[in-house]
Amino acid sequence: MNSSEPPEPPVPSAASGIAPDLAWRRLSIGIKLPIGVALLLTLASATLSAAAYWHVRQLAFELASERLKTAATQLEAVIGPALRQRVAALQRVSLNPKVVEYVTESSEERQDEITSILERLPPGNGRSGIAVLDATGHPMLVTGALTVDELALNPPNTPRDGAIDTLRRSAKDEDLFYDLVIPIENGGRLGGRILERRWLTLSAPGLNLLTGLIGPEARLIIGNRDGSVWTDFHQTRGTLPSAAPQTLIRYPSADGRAFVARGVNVRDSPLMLAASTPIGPVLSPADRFLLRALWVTTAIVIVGALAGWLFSRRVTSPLRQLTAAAERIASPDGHVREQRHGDEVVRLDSSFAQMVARVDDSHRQLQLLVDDLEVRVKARTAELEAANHELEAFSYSVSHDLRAPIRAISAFSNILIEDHGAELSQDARHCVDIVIKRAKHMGQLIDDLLMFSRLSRQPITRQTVSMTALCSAIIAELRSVDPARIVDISIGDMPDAYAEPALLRQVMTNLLQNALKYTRPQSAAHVEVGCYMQGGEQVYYVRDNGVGFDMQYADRLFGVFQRLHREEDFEGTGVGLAIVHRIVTRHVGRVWADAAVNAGATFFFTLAPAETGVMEAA
Amino acid sequence: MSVLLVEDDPEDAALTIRALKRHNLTNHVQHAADGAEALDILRDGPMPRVVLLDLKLPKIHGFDVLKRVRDDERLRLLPVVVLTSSREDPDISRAYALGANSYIVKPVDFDQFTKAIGDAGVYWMLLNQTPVQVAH
Repeated sequence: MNSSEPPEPPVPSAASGIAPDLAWRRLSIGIKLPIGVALLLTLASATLSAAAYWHVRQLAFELASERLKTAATQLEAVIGPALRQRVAALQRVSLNPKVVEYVTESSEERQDEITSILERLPPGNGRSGIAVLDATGHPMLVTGALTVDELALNPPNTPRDGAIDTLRRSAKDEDLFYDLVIPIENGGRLGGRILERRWLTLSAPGLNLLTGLIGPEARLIIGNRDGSVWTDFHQTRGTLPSAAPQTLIRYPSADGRAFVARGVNVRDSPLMLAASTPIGPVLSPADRFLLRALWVTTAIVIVGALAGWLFSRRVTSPLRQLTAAAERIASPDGHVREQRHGDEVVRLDSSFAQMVARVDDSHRQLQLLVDDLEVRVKARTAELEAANHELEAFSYSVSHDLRAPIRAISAFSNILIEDHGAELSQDARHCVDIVIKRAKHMGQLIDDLLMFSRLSRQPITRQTVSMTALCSAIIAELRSVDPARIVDISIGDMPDAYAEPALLRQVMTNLLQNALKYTRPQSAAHVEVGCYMQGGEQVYYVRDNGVGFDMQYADRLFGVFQRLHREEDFEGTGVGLAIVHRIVTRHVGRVWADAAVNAGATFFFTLAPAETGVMEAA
Repeated sequence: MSVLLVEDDPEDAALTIRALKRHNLTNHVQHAADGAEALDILRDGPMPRVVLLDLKLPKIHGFDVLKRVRDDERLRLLPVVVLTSSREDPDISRAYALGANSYIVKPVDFDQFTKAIGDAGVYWMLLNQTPVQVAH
């Protein structure tokens, strides 16, 4: 078996096992197809899911962005006005003449009065303190949480525009604060400043508002517009893009979580307010969608792979049968070549190629046989033609040369009687009569033989012949030979025959002639011609009530020169039935007889039916 | 008025002449024993009324004799009756193809033979008319 396997090409990985691509090729379609379908479906589903997921995610972000912006706006609507009211209150204080006077005069006795004015201001949220500074910026008075040391540590700025300064980080700690700085005018000149420093704390109402708007984990961000300093009250450091208020931004929280934020600027200040929330809740609808899409995808892939497997089973089963059939044809002796190099299609291809090779081979062998046969047929035909030619030459010679002596014998015997009859004795005359009779018989024999021989060579052209008309004509002819004889001849209904007319006429003539001849001793001779159907064949017959014959000699009936009766009783050459046999045989029919001694004889014959394109028997 | 009998078998020739005599048709019967002799007689001698021609002849076959007669300008209209033992169809067809005027099979039976020769003789010598060109 191994010897029949084609030599493996040298594959580098052959030693270490099967190359991956080879392994894949060897896999059954029953496995490959489901895998392929699953891969395709996975790819398609994944692409679709990803696209949908990104879309849903985008929508979630947009929604969050809107909600965060709304929250930030509402916060600004609360915080912004409060801030501006505070600034307005401080401005009112700065216009207080007592305050102006205190700044310009710097009278100690007014200090308590000023403090009480400042303390009458509504208390701020959380930690704060107010200071009055002179024109050079030195603190003249500090209240609340503000101390002189604090002012030295974190000296106040002059806000670029308006009263609200930027958010700053304390130089000492992580505390964030911003200043409200109000100039105190004295006759058009700067007399001093009122400064309120406010440390950032998140008020409960603000936080409540935020969580109510966005969610439990929502955070408020306060920072400078440029993002330099900011806080979400959980952390005070990190980078926050300066564009924060305008668009949705992401930033990492101190605890490592990702947050998204969106905010608005606080009017008349360098500050901004933003609302933020962890990304998780924002994206949870998208994540839920993704999870669901994954489940659906998995289901589709499994169903697809299953369908692929079922389909491939339907496909591979006929493929295997085809392969098996091709293998059987390729190796009818059962030596099926090992097929391990590929899936069903590859195997079928291989088996088919082998089958084709085998069929080609068979065809070639067949062609050789045919060629050989043709050569033999040609040789045989040539032999036959030569034999036929010899036979023709023989017949020709017989025809020419055998007749002449017999004619001479017959003729001169006749002349002997005619010219010298008177000189002959009675015995001599009798002898000469016998010579004449036998010579005549010899002539008849030669004629019959020549006719019999001619039958083998004469081509046959078959056509429809009316048997009834043919038999009537022959019987009329035969009756005219011996008009005195009384024979009862009946012609039954006969279908037309399909035969060479002259030869069929010869057959019927011979059979009827025999019937008349062998009924001669009967006082009431009966001859019957007819036809019947048997096994789909038309069987013609000629029946007589003549002397018949012993059936044990029936096999000799149709031989040439075979006679079952003595010449003295019934004249004949023994060729008639041989001629009948030859003609019927050449029409691919059968002829047989049924008889008994003194109980008549019946001759039957069939002819090949018209519709069969009969090859004439030689 | 003569007959040229071309016949190699002396008995057949004798029988034929005897049959013609029976019908008083033989004022002058010329006998050629082979094809060459027949052609010599035809070439040199007087034109016969009819030629009775056997086919299987020594030297020159009957068909060749017939062919040469038909090819000869002087002889081409001469009546030629093939008188032979053969009743093979190829012979009969060929004889007519070569221009035989008649084809008679010599019967084996003496009476039939005598009658056949007599009938043919009567027909060709007495009843049949030939063109002036052939007559003399």
